[in-house]
This record gives sequence, C-alpha cells and structure tokens, in this order.
Amino acid sequence: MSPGIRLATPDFGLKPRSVAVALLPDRIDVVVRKRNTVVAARRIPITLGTDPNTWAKSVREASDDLRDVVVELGVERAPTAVVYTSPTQAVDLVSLKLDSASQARAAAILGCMETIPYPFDAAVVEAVVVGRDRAEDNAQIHVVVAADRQDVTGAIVEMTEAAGLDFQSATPIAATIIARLAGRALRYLPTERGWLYVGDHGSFFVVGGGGILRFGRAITIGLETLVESLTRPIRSSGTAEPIELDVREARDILYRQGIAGADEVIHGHAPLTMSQLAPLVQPVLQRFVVELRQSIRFGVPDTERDSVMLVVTGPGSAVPGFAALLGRELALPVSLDSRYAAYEYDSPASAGSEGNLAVANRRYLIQMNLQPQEITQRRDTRRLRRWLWTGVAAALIIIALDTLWLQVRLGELRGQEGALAHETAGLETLHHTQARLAAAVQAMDDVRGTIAQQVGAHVDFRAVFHELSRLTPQSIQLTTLFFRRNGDQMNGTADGYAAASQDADGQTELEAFIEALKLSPIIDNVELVHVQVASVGRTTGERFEAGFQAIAIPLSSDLEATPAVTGDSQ
Amino acid sequence: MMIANLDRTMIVQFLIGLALTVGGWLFFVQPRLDELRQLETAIAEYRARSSSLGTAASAQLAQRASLLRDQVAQIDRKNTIGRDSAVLYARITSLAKEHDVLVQSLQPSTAPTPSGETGVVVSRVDLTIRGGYEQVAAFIEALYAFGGFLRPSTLLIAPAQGGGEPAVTARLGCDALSFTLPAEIAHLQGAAHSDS
Repeated sequence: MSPGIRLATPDFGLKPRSVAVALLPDRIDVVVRKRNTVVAARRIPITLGTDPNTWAKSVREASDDLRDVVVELGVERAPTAVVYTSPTQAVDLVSLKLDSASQARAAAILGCMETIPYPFDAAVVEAVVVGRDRAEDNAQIHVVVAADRQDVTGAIVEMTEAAGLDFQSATPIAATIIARLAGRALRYLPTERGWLYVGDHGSFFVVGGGGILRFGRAITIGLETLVESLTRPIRSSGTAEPIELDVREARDILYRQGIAGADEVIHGHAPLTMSQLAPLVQPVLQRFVVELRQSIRFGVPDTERDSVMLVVTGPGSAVPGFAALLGRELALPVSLDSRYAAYEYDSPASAGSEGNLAVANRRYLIQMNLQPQEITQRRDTRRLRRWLWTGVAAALIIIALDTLWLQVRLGELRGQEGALAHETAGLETLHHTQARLAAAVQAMDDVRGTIAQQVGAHVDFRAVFHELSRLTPQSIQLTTLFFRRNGDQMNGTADGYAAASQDADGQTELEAFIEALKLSPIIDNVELVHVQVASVGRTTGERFEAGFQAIAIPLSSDLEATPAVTGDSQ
Repeated sequence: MMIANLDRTMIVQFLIGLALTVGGWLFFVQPRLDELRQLETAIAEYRARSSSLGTAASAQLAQRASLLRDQVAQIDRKNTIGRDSAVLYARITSLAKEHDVLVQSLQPSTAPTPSGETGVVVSRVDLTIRGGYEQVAAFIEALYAFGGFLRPSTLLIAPAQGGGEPAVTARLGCDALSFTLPAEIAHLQGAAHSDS
C-alpha cells in the first residue's frame, strides 16, 4: 500500500489525447485515444523474461522502441496509463464479511502483504472494492487486491517517461479484468450464471446471480498456453521430419481454425489436420475443463448446478469451437460474448483486446495504480506544488484586482476629498469673515450705544426758548436763563422779576407763570426755588428763581442699526 | 503523513508563496486600504464641518459689510469735529455768520481728554455770542445739528447790555466728542475712506 495521502489522480481519459500502453510478455500495444475513441495504435514485439530482474531490464530497454512509436504517433507528453502483466504481480479477488468497504479494503491489503513472496516494504499494494452482495445475511464485500514489486513498477515508470510519455498509472491487466468481471457478476440479478474470461496469459472464472457473487477464481491457463502447446514438434505420417510451428503460426491456427473437426486441414503448406494437433492441445484443454468443473462443483450448490449458464468472454471467446468444446465437456449451456465477434488478435486497436479492456474503467486504474512510492510522493509533491502556486497565483490575482478596485476608489475619494477641502476652505473663509463681521457689528452696536448715551438725546433749546417766551407774561421779566447738563438731563434755572399783581382768583402772576410752566410738554419738574420781594423803581414785585428740567428729545440718529450677522442667514 | 511528504523545497516554496501573498497584500493593498480609510474619515469630517458651518450668503455679508463701512465713515466724519478744533471753530464761525450772531469769544477751555467712558475723547469749548433772541436760538439749534458729536454742557442766556436793538448774550459751554473705534471696526476706516 502506498503510504501517505493519495493525491495523484491520473489524467487518463480526461485530456483530449491520452495513451494506453499494454505491456505484455511478448509485446507492447500502444493505443492512442481521443475522448475515448481509438485514433491510432501500434504493436511493438518484445520478449520479456520471467525472471523479475531480467523482466525489469527488458522493460527499460524497450523504452527506445516505445519512444520511436511515441514520436511517430506524435503523442509526446500525453498522459499515459500502463496496464501490464509481470512475473511478480499478485492479483486476487478477496471476499470478506466486514461492515465497511474501507475495512474490507484494508483487510485485503494486509492479507495480500502476508502472502506476497517479497518484503512488503519493497512492494506496492493497492485494492479496489468491487461491491457488496445484495443478500441480507452473510453479505460479503468483494475486493480486488493487486501487488507488485516497486522496482518492477519503477521500471515501467522509467520506460514510460524515457519514451517521452507522461506516466499516470501502472495497473496489472488481470486486476482490472477481474474487477470488471466480478462487478458484472454482482450486478447480474437473475439466476446463477458463470462468466469465463479466457485471456492471453490467464483466465478468470466467476459465478454469480441475484446480486451475489458466489465465487471467483483465477486459472493460470490462457490462450498463450494453447499457443505454446501448438509449438511443440508434430509428427506427421507422411513426412520423416516433425513439423514445428512458430508462435505466430500457432497463434494464427488457433484464432483462425480454432478447435475444429478432426479431419479438417488447418495448415496450408504443411498438411495438418486437427487430429494431428489434438494430442498437443488435449492436455491443456483437459486441465482447463477440470479446473472449471472443480470450480463449479465447489462453488455452486447441487440444485442450481444444472441451471448455470456459462458466458465465455475475452479473447478466448473468439477461438472457433473453444466455447462449444467447454459446453460439451461441462454439460452446460454456453453463450459467447458478442463484443468479441470482431476481435482480431493481431490488432492492438481491436475491440476486446486486453489492453483496451483493461483501460476501459478509469476507477480501477486510479485505485489499483501500483506506481512506486517514490513516484507517488513525487506526484503528491508536484500536485501540492501546483496547488500551492495556483493558490498563490489566485491570491495575487485577487490582490491585483483588489488593488485595482482600491486604486479606482481612491481616485474617486481623492477627487471628492479635494472638492470637499476646497469647499470647506471657502466655507471656513466665509465663516471667518462672518465671525469678523459679527464682531464688527457688535463693536458698532457698542459704539452706537456709547454715542447714544453721550449725545443721543438733547434739549431743543430753540423750542424751550419759544416755550418760555410764549408762557412768560408781560408782568414777568426773565433776567437770565441758565442750563446745566446733569448726566443725560438738562437742568434749567430761570431768574426773573414778577410784578406784584393778582388775578381774579387771587393768584399772583408768578404763581400763574409757574403753573403754566408745569403744564408745558417740554418742561418738567418745575419748582420755584427762591422768591424775594423786591422793588424795581416804583414798582414792587418779587424776584424769583425757578428751577425746571428741559425735556431732552432723542436725537434722530443717522446711524442706523446694522442687521445682525448669523451663521445661517439666507 | 502529509507533512512528512513535504520536503524542504516544498516548505521553501510555501514560504515564498506566503511571502509573495502577504508581501503583495502589505505592499499593494494595505496602504491603499489605510489611505481609503483616512480619506473616508477626512470626507466625513469635511461633511460634518460643512454642515456645522452652514451656508452664509456671501452677498448678504458683503451688503452688511458695506453698511458697516458707511456707518464707520459717518462716525469718522463726525469725529473730525471733536478731534480738530480748527474745523470746529470754522464751522462755528460759519454758523454764526449764517445766523447773524456775533461770536464775542471762542476758546477751548481744556485740551481733549479721555472721558470716564471708554473710547470717548472730550474737548470742552466755551463761546460767547450775542444777537437777537431768535437768531441765538436758531444758532444754538444749528450748532447741535451741524454734523458733529457736540453735547451742550452749560448755557447762560441774559439780556445784552447796550446796543440799540434788544439782544441777548449767550454763554455756551459745550463738549465736542470723538469716539475711538474698537479694533473690530477700526480696520474699516481705511476701506471707508477709500470707498468714500
């Protein structure tokens, strides 16, 4: 199991052009896809040994050939998913009665670690939960677990990157095919059915129905086993020398002629019939049938055994007569997977080829990516770094936008502030002038008050003189008139001489004069201060002194009051 | 586990990214934000100040200032009588001639002295005139109305001795006042002069 948090998510299948590399013991199939449609494919024949170290070395050496193909196809740096078959891979379908999928996955990984023949710290183990039985009781969680040595998968990564491709994942072909097959069995709701996948280098048999996966079993026999058996020497009755078919011829016979009738000529330049080839393939087929029979016997209840229908799928379903042979031997109804009707074993782009089938489910590629821990860490770091710089870039963009917005806002506010400052300065000046004017008005009011107090009212002497002339009878003679200002009052004194005479009421002239003065509207506080009998010549009379107050009248000022100055005068 | 995966380069890059972000914020955004806040505060203060200042009508203020200047000019003209005795004598002589009275004596009794009232300077003038009763009365009336701050202090009227026609002698004591303008309006004197 890769340590750490899995951050790397392969881009395989998402980008416009992606590459699938199927690394098989005898070839490398390169398939270029554009939005899940195969646009180009190449096959590179190679020979990978069975020794892990030799295998890894051969894989690394294959990078040159792969690079040529990559350049030819123009898919440099394209995201690439590698599906492979290696001598150290371990793939198993584990069924566990546990509560949660995560527990089942962890348990499957731990179980696999205990069984792999190499140290677990040198291994990379991944697992994918295929599904859970629909049964209410004894429901099991089915997990496909895959493991491999890190140096082996590291060689795959090196090959891929050296070829100029962007490595995304490395997944055992068997793991994805088992997962697909198990998932198909779990989704099948009617009665029992068996699915037999016959692959190039191995087969897998599952039986399920009603949403329950009965069992799943890997069989180490594949089509290449049959091909290999056909390459053994064939003794013909007409020839002295045994005939030896090469792998290509054997494969061609298998896919073109299949398991045909006994007298049918199945080889062109050398007259071979199936009866001559049967002894070669018979042991393999026998072993294959026995494996299947045993599986059905132990996996399917007796009552349901006869009703099981067998669906043959995978490249093996394209071998003529192969499925029919199995049906006869197992005494079960057999059907073929229609998707393999047009299968061409020598075309890497052919529908149903193991490489194409293996990369069809992206989830399995991601979850059973056996890339080395170093690559995982490197990818995690790269991903984190990308996130980091994306975040920084986003933050800087936000800062830039914020700065831009602030700059615009600042421009507006600066203009507004300048206008307000100018306006306020004008108002300040106006206010200052207003205050000075108010102070000046107040000062003027004070001055006007002082002026009014000092010279605001005065006696109209001319009027007083006229009044005295009018009120003074012939019998009274005024000798002096004296006025003295006392504060804002004007006190007057009139000295004179009054002839001694009385009127009919017995009132003297002086008394009448004083009374008349008292009635005057412009003279007030009249009093006779002093009276002395005196004679002037032969006339007797009274010398008198009368005091009075001349009423002052307000001076008509031409200093009009200044209107008050207030702050909000309109 | 995640932290364990972070190598030094990653940490350094993280610190660089953080520094870039924080630095960008501090260098570009923060100062503008501060300035923005300051400007908003300043604008709010300006608005508050503007509303507190009110909107005085400058035309009205100018009208009032003009009226004030006229009043100052008026006071200033009237003050001339109290300040300059030569002007006062000339005016008295002119008035006497106008009203057909004889100025027998005209003399300042005291030099201009500040009165007890702040800002008032008083010059005492005594004059003796002779003339017909009516003419003397008209003269006295005209004297107090000829455009100065004159205030009667004493007045003694007695029949004149001698002469063919009846006449009176008037001994008049009056105060010629001048008012010192306070500083608030004193500066308007020059403007008033220039205006006039």
